[in-house]
Amino acid sequence: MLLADIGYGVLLLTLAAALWAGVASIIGVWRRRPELVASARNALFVTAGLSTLSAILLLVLLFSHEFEVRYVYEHVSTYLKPAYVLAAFWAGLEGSQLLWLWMLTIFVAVLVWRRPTWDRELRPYAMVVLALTEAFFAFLLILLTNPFELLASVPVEGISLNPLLQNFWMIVHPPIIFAAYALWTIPAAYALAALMTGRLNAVWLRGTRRWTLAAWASLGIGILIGAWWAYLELGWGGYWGWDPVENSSLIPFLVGTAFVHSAILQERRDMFRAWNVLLAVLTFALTVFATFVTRSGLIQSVHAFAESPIGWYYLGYIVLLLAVTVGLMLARRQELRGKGELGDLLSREFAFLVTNLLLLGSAAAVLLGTLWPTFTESVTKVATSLAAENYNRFMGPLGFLLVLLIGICPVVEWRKISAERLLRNISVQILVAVVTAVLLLVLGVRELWAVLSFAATAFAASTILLQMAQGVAAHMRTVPAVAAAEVATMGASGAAADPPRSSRHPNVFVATARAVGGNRRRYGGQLIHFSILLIVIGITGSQAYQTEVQVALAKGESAQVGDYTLTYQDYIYRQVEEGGNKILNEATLDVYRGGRKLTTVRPEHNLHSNVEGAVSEVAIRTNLKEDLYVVLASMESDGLAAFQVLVNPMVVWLWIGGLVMIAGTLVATWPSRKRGEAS
Amino acid sequence: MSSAMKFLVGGVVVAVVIGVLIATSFSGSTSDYLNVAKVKALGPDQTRNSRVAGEIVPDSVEWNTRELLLTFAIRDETGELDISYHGPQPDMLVDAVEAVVIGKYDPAGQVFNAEELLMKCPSKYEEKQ
Repeated sequence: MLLADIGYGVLLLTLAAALWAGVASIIGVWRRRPELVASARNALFVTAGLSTLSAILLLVLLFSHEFEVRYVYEHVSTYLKPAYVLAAFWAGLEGSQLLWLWMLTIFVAVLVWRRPTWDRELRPYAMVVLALTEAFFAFLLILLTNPFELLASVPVEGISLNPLLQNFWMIVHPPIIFAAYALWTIPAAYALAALMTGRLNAVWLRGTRRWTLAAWASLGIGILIGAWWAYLELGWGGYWGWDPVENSSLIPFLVGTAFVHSAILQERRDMFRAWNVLLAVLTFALTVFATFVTRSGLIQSVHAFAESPIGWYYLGYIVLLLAVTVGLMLARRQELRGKGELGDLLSREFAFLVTNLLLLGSAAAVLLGTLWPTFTESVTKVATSLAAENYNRFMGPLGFLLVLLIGICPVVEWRKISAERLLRNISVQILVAVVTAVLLLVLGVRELWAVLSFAATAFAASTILLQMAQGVAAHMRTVPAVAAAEVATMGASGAAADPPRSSRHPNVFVATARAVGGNRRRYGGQLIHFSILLIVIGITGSQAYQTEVQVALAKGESAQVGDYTLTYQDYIYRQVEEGGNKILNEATLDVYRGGRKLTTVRPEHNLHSNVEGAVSEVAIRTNLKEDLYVVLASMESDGLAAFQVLVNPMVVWLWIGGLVMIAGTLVATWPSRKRGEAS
Repeated sequence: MSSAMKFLVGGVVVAVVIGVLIATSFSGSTSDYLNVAKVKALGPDQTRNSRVAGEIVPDSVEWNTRELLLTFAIRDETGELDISYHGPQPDMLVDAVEAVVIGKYDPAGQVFNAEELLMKCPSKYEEKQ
């Protein structure tokens, strides 16, 4: 198979180019030979080109159904829809590893494309780390997860993609997660570069800020999309199960969030230098750890991923990475001491410290929970597993405090704030929180924790809205200098009998745009905080008020679920599409509320020739208040069917929160038109 | 007290509170991984849930749609265990696939009453080989 051989050859060349980039940049910085650094830069472009080529080759093989290639045979078939052939690229271990390498090489190429500016000193050292990481991934692809491996004989048909993965969000989820993992390599590389050069001031943080935020947001969005996929496709009515697979992407997200926050402290106050270096490297190490978790077989998961020795290579890499980091940190003890002075306990500095501790505490707890069976087994000989409730018991309170801090931090001043002043700054918010709590109690909400959560969310949201309103109001009062200048020029040209629009006090929209435009970082951050609050609302609502009914119905029978009445009207049983690959079982239910017909839902319970057991396709009716979630669990030949029906309140706010998070990140990172402004 | 000292003490206090919170949430509602033989040796007075994994015994699955009652047996290298589960039949429940059940063993009825049933299905994320 020529193409597959070429693919494997290209992987070998990718490894060679990445190794050369690593070696050339090491010698280049060591011997001060800029021409070698330039050669390393070229090699990084070559690596990106080569890995793109191998990705294209794999795609071509997948789309042309070359079943002689094991990966193609295992993940596609002639009847698989083209969009899902794309999903098949990253459905398996080999393809997802190639995707990771590809993403990394592309981002690194983009990074080194621009000639060094702020990072003239740091760039060659960062390139060492980036190139060696690329080489490591390429090495593993060649050694353990070659996607171009051939089978001894050529099968006539492929196994095809697991139906559970045949979902739009499974086309999108893995690339976003791996993009996030790849992006986190960049701040880590610069942290190490800062350690190696001893340039540990905030320059490396400021310079990598956009990369960091892009990494942070992609990881957050990737996690949310994964949750959405689970909700739509797995048919158990939930979106998060505290499974090791989910936890392993949440842990770097929490540590990365801590990093994003403590970076601000170093930029503004030159504190936490050592912390930031460590957190940047740790976040990246934890993204690699995520793959170790899913592939090593060390951790018990209901998601039995194919085990592969690759996990142990990753562990080795993490150990090496952390050892180097800690070693360098010890060597740079002096430079890691920031010049910033700590403030009072009632200060923004301390609020940031508490935020960091809460985020890192929750990350540590999720990590410990994930490893708990392994840990207890080695101590007591009996492996003990945590239930979702255990996670909720610590995540609930820690999340509650974090939400409160979203409301408190912006109104606390740097260095010191008096208790009276702090209280005055949050008096309106406290009032809003109390009113919210009382309203909820009056409306009959009895779960105390839900009341507390909603009240805290209202508290934090009112801080954000108040600050926003103050910013907008300030802009409405002032006629900006630019507008005044316009008036002058227009006056000179004699066109201003009527005062031009821009010289009036701006209306609320113009003022909002100006306020946000003038301080994108701040308002972007506020918008991201707001998105977190929306997500908290979604989690609280769906956790506190889920209604579940399991019921068996014959045709014509009805069931009551919450306010809804579902009447089982009809069923369909037939072979469909995909070359007789799928047997469709579909139930038709009419949904009524208060005697009025709302909609008709059609949950499915299908049999596919390439998976054992059945695959449920959930029917969901969504609105802003709640989701009606109907699962057809089984169906007899006479139509007697078992249904699982859930009413999940407010779930949609999780996904809306995700959209707001994207918007906030775009606002915070959008390149400024003003040149020279520190980004 | 210097501000560095205040910060240190304050930070340590917060960290300790977080630590205690986490430590206390790791007890209760946990379940122990046991094999079939160990589960069968349990007495009637179990306070904690057990978690047993085993391959589904071929032809043992019985599903009563009306009652929403699922009974089947699992086996590992130490023996076979009858399982009773009230709830919808999971998608991937088929012979020879590994199931994980969480619940308590009833020594009198010699049946394991599963509160939770998870399918440990290799074909879930990786296509069947």
